[in-house]
Order: sequence, then structure tokens, then C-alpha cells
Amino acid sequence: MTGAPVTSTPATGTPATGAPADPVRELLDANRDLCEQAVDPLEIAAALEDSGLAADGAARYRHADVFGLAEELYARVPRRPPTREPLPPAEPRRTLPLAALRGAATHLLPLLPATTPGGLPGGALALLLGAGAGLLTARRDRGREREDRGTEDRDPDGWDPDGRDPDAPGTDRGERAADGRAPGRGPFPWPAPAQGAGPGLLLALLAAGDPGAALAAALGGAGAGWAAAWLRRFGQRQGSAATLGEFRARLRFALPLAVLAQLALLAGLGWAVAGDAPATGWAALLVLGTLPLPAAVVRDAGRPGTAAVAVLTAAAGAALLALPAPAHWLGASPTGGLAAAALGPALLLAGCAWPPSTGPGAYR
Amino acid sequence: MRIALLTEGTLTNAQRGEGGWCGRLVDGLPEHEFRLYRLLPADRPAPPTGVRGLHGVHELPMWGRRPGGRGPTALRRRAYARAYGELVRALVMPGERAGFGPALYRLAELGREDEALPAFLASGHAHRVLERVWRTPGADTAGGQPLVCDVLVAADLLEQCLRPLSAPWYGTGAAGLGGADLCHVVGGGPAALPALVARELHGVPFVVTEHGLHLREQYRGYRSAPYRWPVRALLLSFFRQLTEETYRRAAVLTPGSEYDRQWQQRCGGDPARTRIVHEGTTATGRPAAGKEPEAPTLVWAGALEPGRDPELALHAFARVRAELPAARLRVYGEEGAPGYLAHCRAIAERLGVEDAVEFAGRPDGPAAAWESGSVVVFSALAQRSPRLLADAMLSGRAVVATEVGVTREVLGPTGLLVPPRSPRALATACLALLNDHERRSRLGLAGRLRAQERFAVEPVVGAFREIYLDLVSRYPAFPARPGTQARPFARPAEYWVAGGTTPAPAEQAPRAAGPALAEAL
Repeated sequence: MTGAPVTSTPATGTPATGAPADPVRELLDANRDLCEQAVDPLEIAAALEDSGLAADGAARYRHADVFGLAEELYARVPRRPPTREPLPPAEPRRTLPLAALRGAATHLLPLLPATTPGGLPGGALALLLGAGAGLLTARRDRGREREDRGTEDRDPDGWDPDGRDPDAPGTDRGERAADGRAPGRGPFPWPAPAQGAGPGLLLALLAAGDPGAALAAALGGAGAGWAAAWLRRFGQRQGSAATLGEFRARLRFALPLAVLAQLALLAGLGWAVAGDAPATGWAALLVLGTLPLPAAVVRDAGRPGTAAVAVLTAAAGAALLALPAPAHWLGASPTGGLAAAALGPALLLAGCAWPPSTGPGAYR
Repeated sequence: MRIALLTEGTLTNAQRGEGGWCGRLVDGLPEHEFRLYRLLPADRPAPPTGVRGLHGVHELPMWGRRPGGRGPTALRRRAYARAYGELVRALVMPGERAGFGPALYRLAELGREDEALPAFLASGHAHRVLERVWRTPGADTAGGQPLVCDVLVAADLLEQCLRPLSAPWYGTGAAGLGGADLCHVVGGGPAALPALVARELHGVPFVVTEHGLHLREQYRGYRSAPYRWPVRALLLSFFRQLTEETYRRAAVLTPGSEYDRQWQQRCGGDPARTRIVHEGTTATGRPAAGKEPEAPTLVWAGALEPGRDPELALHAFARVRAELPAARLRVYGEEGAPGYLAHCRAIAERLGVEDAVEFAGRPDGPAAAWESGSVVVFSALAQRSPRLLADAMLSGRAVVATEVGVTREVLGPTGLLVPPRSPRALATACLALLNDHERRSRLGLAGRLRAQERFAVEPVVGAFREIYLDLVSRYPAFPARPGTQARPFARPAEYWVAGGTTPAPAEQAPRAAGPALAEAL
């Protein structure tokens, strides 16, 4: 016996009498989707080979090889994209309340020691608790990222019946997670605890001056978390915009609107919780309650270091002004100093957050 | 001779013992100095190479998070944007394919000067360039215009694919590719990028070995990838241009089979520079399978998935059993597609052969699987790699296979070929063998001898010994000026003997002096 096919199918090459005049038509109808969505004749050739068509099969369609047949199919069918194409993935809606809860928790947690023991140990404890909360949030984010990427490991020992080649790289099937975020900066994510510690210290300082305003600001953390998550989700859903310019136009007023909404929420909370606070207390409440929002946006845009430095600067400045000597020398109220120290970094951060928040790179 | 092995492998051969294909090559050619350059996924720990006797291992993280680094200065950004625009234009404009190579080398040159290429490719400037060129009238967007999300995803993927351009591997030092006498790309794809750049920069020739074509796997893989049409079109265009450029520049192409050679030729591989080198396997030293089982048994092995078509084997077996009630079928392999094992069981039940079919799962090793049957059956719709077929042939059992992919050239006259999707033909062939012990053993022995001759390791090593020597004899010792003719035998043979302690003159010569020296010689 030789390698000649053991087959009872009619001889290939020339169509038998009565065969259709256009044998390719049948194949074309069977593979219409493939041909419409192919980007290249070679893609059709690979698919035809996968479906069991070899050189002698191509001869049935009056072609010398699969490539010629694939080119005919490619030329005869106009390109048409699939009717349902995957759109950019956005975070599900249920992440918004979760983000709000997380925002409130990370701000209320440091407030507890700041009000109950109070003083220096309370402030230190608030600082630590804030750092811990920030670190926890960051770890959760990193865990989610790892899940997204998934793992694909092939069988580590010798049985490889599929004949896949471990040396051949293409077997990964082209599914490379597109992850364009900024690179990690080393093993320990220092910006995360720093970004939690800053608000913790600020809230502790505010609680020392005006506990009502501090509570309102901490509760406003829920709004900041919600707004940051909403902005991220909104940006992700705008990936279907046609051009980068259109994307930018849609996102231009998203961050200012989110900040205004956050200010309105804080005003409402302040009126309900600390209605009789002095003007400096109100100012501190508004500044402190809004600060986490641009910080979160800057962090998501891939500059966690900038956000952390700004928040820490505000906290350090406020702590410095709260020391007895400078406070006495300036003659300002504790809450006034706090608002003054945090206002600069907050404005700078908002300025840093706005341009990247209109670009698509910040929402991945 | 100093040889740079370039490969993109997540599990480069560690699991095949002895370092896999690269390991066998390095073991077989101890007279040469090998250095391994690997492209690895960035987010997983690097597995050991498993290759002994290497003079160095250099790794570059690819596929994953971008390494840190600053973007180019405002002045240089324009040059970057121009080169990147040219590259994208070559990808999306059907008439401007010729610009791919120059744009690639220009990007590599820019990246080498200030190491800002990865950061630039991930920046908003690159996104804008990509979008502008992609939406230019005349670009191939027949299947849909790119949206913002497509621009982002495509830019990311391009950035990852182009990472080898900024690898710290160039230069004429001992560890640089410029210090190598030749590059050997194993597997194609992005692993060929450093070889292309080294050829452009230092005039180092390169060999491409492919077992299973990278480009074909991309076409197959991207069909199920979660990307929209424009992204698929752009990326596949990139891989096709890269493959064509690689085949055009390669000094020698060594596909693993005639089937792969046809694909390579289709993508611009020059037949005169192509030489088929079958993949060697250490299994040739394995003793033949022992006595056949009492009952006439068919063995089927492979992943249980539609492409391997175990259904055809089941249908054919039902016909065999009607003629030969004692016959049995043993199916080895694990599920390749979820739920497919249950599907196969249901078919066996429907055909009334469930008591004679055994789904044996994963065997102890391939040899044990083949030994448990009288005849080995391959019913796949596509057979791209000869590995499993050759392994079955080495057992000395007769083989029946569907005539697809590499089966005809691997089996030759030592097995029976049937058309795919034809249970009747497969059943007839199986019955013919099961009923004829003498023919079965004759074909089995012939198949074993054929596989031992073609798939041994020694011919592979011998082939590459020749290819390497032939190649360096045709290239001058110093980088030739682009466009000048390479002069064969410009150096005596002793020049190429790798010295132990004395550095080769090519390393001492400064790069700038290269063309001048080459001219003077």
C-alpha cells in the first residue's frame, strides 16, 4: 500500500459531468462569515486548512492550492464587520456604590481615633489607619488587575498530544491583555499608603478644631469615591467615540461637573451635620472633602506619585500650621490654617487632573 | 563561531527535558559559542532555559506591563512621530508596504539613541499619530473605521510587539548581537526583530527556523481574540509585514516541513534560500512497542476538541465494529474544549459502541499509548506539526491518518492516508490493517525506519553545522556598508575558529572603522 489516498470519493481535479459551473459558490456560501470578516486572504487559507481542506480539496475547486482558493474567496466577498462587535469593557454599575462605601470607610476609619482619644496619639493613630486603608484599597485594585489579566499556563510535562510547539510563540492565540497603564515603580507601592495617610492626618486636625465639619468631610468621602468611580466608568464607556477629539469633547466637562457635584454634596452634608460651623470651618470642610476626588483621578491617570505628594504636602502644611508657635504667630484659627494649607495643593491637583481626565489613556 | 539564539518562548523547552530543540542544537554543536536571547512575558517569573552549555542568557520582558522610562524630548518627538507614522502607514495603506522595513529600522535607531521608544509608543502623541494615519483616506478600513478604543488597544499591542527594538542587546561587545557571527531565530515573530536590527546595524546574517509558522498561528489565534475588526486588521498586517521582511532579509530559512515551506514561500520566502530541516526528536532511540494486545485495538491520541475530530474516529469505529465485533477503540487525551468529552461519550453511546470505547485520559507517556493498540488512528482536520505522527511511527505500529497538513510527507508510503471527514474511508483503511497482520507489521516497521531516518537529532545538528559554516563563509568579517556586495571567502577559515582567550578582531575594531576596513580588505 502506498501513500495514495484510500478514498472512494470521485477523482479530484476535473469536475465530473453535471458538476456545478461555479464550484466555489457552495464553499463561499458555507464560509460567508469567515470571508466577510477576514482581513487577509491568508486568514481564509488558515481557516480553510483548519476545516480539513488540503491541496487536493482545493483541486476540487479548480485551484492549485489553498492559497489560490482563499484569494478567490477574499476577492469575491466584500468585507463586512460582524454585526455585534465587542465594545470596550466598562466597569459594571454595581462598582459605584461599592466605591462610595469604600470612600466613606477609608475616611471614617481615621476619624475614630482622632475624636475618641484625640490629641497627638489620636492623630498618629489616624495617620496609621489612613495609611492602612489606602494600602488595602490599592491591594484590592492590584488583585482585580491580576484577575483581569488571567493566567494561561500550559502543561508542564512531556505529554503534548496536540503537537503544540513550546518553542513556537504564536500558540498563545494572540490574546494579549492590552494594559497600557503606567509602569509599576518597584516592589512596594508607596503612593498608596501615602495617599491614605494624608487625608487621615487632615481629618484628625480638622476634628481637633471642628468635629462636626470633620464628620461631614469624612462622610463626603463617599461622594468622592462615587464620583471618581463614575468618572472612570463614564470614560471607559466613551471608548466607542469615533475620534480622540470627540472623546476629549465628551470628557471636557466631566471632571468639573463631578467636582461641582461633590461641593454641592458637601454643602448639604455640612448644613445637616455642622450647620453652625464658622466660615473657616466651612472652607476647611469643602477643601478637605473635595481633595480626594482630583487625587483619585490623578492616580487613575497613571501618576499615583503626584497625587500622593500633593496630599502629603497639604497634610504636612496643615500640621505645621497647627503647631502652637506658628498658630500663635499667625493668629489664625486652626480650621482656617487647615483650609489655607490644603487649598493650594487641592487647586494644583485639580489643575493636574483636568488635562489627563479628558484623554482616553486615563480610563483603563 | 559565536551564535546568538533568539527565541520568544514562555516555556522555552524546559518541559521537554534536555532544553528542547535549542538544547539539542547546543549539545550537538559544542564547537560553537551559543548565547540565548529570550523574549519573555513581563508578568510571570522566567522559567529556567534548560539548555546546558550556553555562554550567556539574555532576557527581555515582553507582553505585559511596560517597563519604566521617560519619553523623548520635545525636539526628538517629531522624529519619533514621523517614523511611527511611516510604520503605521505601511501597515494600513495597501500601496505603501515597502516603507515597513525603513520605518522599523528608523524607530530602532531613534530608540537606541535615547531609550525613549517604549514611553513614546505608549504616549498620547503616538495615539494621535496612529489615529491620524489610520483614518486617512485610502487606508484599508473596509471592515470598519477605528474607534478610540481601537486606537488604544492597537497602540498597546504595537508597543508590546515593538519592545525588542529597544532591547539592550545591540552593539559590538561580547554580549551584543554585533559581536555574534550570526543570529539564529527560533520561532519567528517578534523574536526576529533583534535579528533584523542586528543585520541592519552590524551586518550579522541570520537563519530562521520555524516549526509551526508564527504568522499562521496569529491568523488562527486572532480569529477568536476579543478585538474589533480594525485592530485585528492592523495587528495581522503588522505580523504579515514583519514576517515578509524577515523572510526577505534572512540568509537561510529552515522550515520544519514541506507544508510550512509552502506557507513561507507564499509569504515571500525565497526557495533558493530555503532548506527543510525536520525537527529532531530524542524518541528515535526508544525501543519499538512490544507485543500487540489480544483484541484488535485502534488507538487515538490527541486533545479532545473539534479540530482533532475524534468524532470521525468514533463513527469509523462503529463501522469497524460492525465487521469485526472484537475490535476496541482506546482514546487518549484530555479535553481541549469544555464539555467535549461528554459530547464524545454521547456519540459513542448513540452509535452503540460505548462498551468497546475506552476514554483513557492522559497516558503515562506517548510510548505507553501507542503500545496499547494494534493500529494508530489520526483523524484530525488539520495536522500542522509532524511531532505526534513521528512519535507514533517510531513505536512501530501501523498508522492510518487523514490526509491533511503534514501527514502525506511524514507518513509517505509507510501508512494509509484517507480523506478527512470520511468515516467510510477511515473504517475501510482500519479494517484492511486489522485483518492483515503481516501488512500491519510491515508498514509499522517501515514507518519506524522512516521516522528514525528523518526525525533523528543528528541530521538536524549536521544540517545546521553546514548552514552555519556556509553562511559565515559568504559574509565579510566586518560590517559591510549597506549596498556594497558581500565578498565570499574574504577571510581564511581559521579566522572563524572561536578563540578561547583572545578576543576576535571584530570586537576590537571600533564600529566606525567597520566599513572602511571592509573596503580595505
